[in-house]
Amino acid sequence: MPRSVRQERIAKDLVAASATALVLAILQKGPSYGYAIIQEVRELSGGELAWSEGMLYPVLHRLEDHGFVESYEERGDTGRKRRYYRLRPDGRKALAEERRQWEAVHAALTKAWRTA
Amino acid sequence: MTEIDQAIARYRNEVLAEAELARADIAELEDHLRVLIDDLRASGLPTAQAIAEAAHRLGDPRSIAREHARVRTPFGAKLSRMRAWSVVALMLPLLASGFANVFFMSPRNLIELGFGVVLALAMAARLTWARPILLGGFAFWTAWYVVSIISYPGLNPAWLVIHAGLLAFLVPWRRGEITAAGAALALQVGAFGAATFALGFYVTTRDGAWNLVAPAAQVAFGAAVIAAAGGVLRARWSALASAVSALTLGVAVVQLTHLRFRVGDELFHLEVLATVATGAIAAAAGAVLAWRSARSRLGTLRAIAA
Repeated sequence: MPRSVRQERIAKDLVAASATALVLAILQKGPSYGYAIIQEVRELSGGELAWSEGMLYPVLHRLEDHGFVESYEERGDTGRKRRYYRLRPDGRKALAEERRQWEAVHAALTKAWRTA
Repeated sequence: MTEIDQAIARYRNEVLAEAELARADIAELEDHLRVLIDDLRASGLPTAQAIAEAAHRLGDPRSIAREHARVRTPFGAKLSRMRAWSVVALMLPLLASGFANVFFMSPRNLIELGFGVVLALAMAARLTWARPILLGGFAFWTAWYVVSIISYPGLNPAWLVIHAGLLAFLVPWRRGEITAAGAALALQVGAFGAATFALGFYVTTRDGAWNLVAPAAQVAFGAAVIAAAGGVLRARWSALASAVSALTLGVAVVQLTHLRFRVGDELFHLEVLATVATGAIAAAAGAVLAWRSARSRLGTLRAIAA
């Protein structure tokens, strides 16, 4: 437990643990690129999930290494080449599994807090 | 060059000072920084403040570089040119000595020499799998030279100096410099060293035939070769081969225990047993790490050019 009980942003460990599930869920809606993914995470969490933005890229590259996503280059609206990511079939399976696990954690916590 | 271009170039240089990233990976970070600065300026921040805030939000360039290196190079960070080429330079006398004796070598030693040349070339090209292989091999032989000099002080210390120098350039001095897959590979190669070492002990029978003292070492040798090949591919079967290598090296220790050496004293006998037993432990640890760090059951060729 944190020493102080004041309300803070979500702890680093929890941010890191949820990164894969969040990125896969965002890419399920369609291809995207790093900066846009960060913006969407910020929006979805109401600013509670604060990532060190540069750390998103190693996460994306790891997902690519696992075969969950694939990348391709396309010229963005500024005319500069930009790397986009899209979900692969294995990524959909991984997302389903992530969802099952997070729902199990959520259900357990909800029960625990109800009885507390 | 605008203020923004200068700030981006500064950030890029800080990233590249820590680890060598692919051009596309650097371009991706630069694009992020540029868009973020533009957005912050559009929201009303002055340029200098927007640059500082964007750099802060992107994160510490050295941590990002290290994390990239860990993901992109599955065996660990790429060695700097200075370190990699120093390793190659120190390998040259060892290879030259091998080539000087090429006509007197057994087929197995010839294959090992050929593999040494391949590894030197891979190290010169700074391919990341070459480092753990050389690290495991030279760690084993350096340890052996150290214990041998205790029993045979007459041994040429130049070889020990060369091996220690090689290790100094190969050892991961910083935390996270080598990954679990890299450590597994290094341990598997250490086990290979122990198996080749155990294969060096023969007895002669009255009719003049040569018999292996520790036949289990033959299986350990084959299993260690398979384990190391699977380690490069990051295949799960590499862990199984490593486990077989551990088991058979353990059996080889038992086989060697009952031996009486014609040369060397009790201390030498103990050194031999300890060397092969260390190989068995390395193979067992390599099996655990290889299982944990495996990319898939069959492995992938993707890491070979990294």
